[in-house]
Amino acid sequence: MNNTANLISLFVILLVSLLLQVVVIDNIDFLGPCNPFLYIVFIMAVPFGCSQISLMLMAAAVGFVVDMVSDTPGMHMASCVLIAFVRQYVLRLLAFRSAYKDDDMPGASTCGSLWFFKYTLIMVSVHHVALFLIEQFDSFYLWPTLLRIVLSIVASSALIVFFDMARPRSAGSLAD
Amino acid sequence: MNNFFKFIVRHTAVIVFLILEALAAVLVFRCNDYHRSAYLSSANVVTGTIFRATSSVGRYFGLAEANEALVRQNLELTHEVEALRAALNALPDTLLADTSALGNRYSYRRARAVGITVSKSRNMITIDEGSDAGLRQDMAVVNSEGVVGLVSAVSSHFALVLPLINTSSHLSVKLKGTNHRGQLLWDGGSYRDAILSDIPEHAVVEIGDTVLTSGASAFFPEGLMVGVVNSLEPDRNGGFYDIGVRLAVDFNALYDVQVIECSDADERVGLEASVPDK
Repeated sequence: MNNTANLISLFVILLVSLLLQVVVIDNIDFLGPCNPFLYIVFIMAVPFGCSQISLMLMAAAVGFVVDMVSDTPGMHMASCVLIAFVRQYVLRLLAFRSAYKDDDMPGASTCGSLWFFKYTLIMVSVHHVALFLIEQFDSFYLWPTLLRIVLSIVASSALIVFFDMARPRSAGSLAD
Repeated sequence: MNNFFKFIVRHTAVIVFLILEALAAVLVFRCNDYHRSAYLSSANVVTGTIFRATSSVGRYFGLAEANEALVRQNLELTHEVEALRAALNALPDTLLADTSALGNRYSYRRARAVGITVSKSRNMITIDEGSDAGLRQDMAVVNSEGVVGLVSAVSSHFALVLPLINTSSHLSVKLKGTNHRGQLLWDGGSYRDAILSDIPEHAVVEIGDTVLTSGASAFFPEGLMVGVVNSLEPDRNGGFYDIGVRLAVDFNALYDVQVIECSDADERVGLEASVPDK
């Protein structure tokens, strides 16, 4: 039962975050080299029990779609697969007091705000550093790239935490 | 052999990881080929249509400025027509007996930028005309202010434009007046400013100098407005200037663009390609 509820909410998260990314966020000028990426909230929200391999395959597919829309061949795909690969090590690193259930989705409501914030910061940082370095593979400019990495990590983390708070939850998926 | 299978089973996740990353790396390193394919990019029908729908909402906010720019351009063109007419009248008829050489090398088509980003390091523009309107790869794109970029892929109703504000863009430009040639590059910083490289230190450059297309590219007519020099310092390595250029085009307010077809571009590119190894 929980599984179907999980599937539906994951699908909604994917759809809403991708649409917000493409239609709204990509069109906002954040006054500077700052490109927040909300859509990785999907890779972060997949339930704890998901295997590393299926998570990487899903991440590759999502990254590929984002690449198509933003004309960055392979770049989002590479960084999404990377955070999907490191996710279980990050979760192990942030081992959280009471053991979580396999069906639980990582989020502020299941794991606490501070925990979720740390988790967001690590995942976003890995993704953004990889992405912005790959983007510069044929022409590297140090300072604009560093500025872009720092500004974007801050903006993405804020967006993801806010998205997680605003997301409506089905009563069943709440861990009490 | 048995050990080999055990190894595979134990490290499946790492192997899948490496395969997926290798796949992504192939896409990344074939970036330029990829930009030539319209179907995998934002010039495909699905994203193109979404972009067109979203831009139809936002474009009303820029109408006043667009109007202003058109009035200004109209005025300049009227002056130019008057000047040319006066010059033509001053010439004896016989000089213009053979007018074939004066034929239009360039023809213009209008399009609208429906999808555009300015804050990424690899910004791209999607415009709402494609091969059905006669657009092809490597056509120059300009607006009333100056150079926008180069068409990199076309589908039947949309085209993808590589703008000056993309870190992989290179444009051959010259300084108006001295005619020193250089390359216009973009470092991923502000979308209003680009970098002009390869201008030797012995050249006379001043802040406020105009930067134009050089004509070294077969796709851009010579003398199109690119921008104005707004910062200037000698390069640390010596020999060349570090020049900052304020771009003439405000990419954040871009909507109406013109695509320039150069009738002899193919001939020129073919001729230049026939020279072995420059």
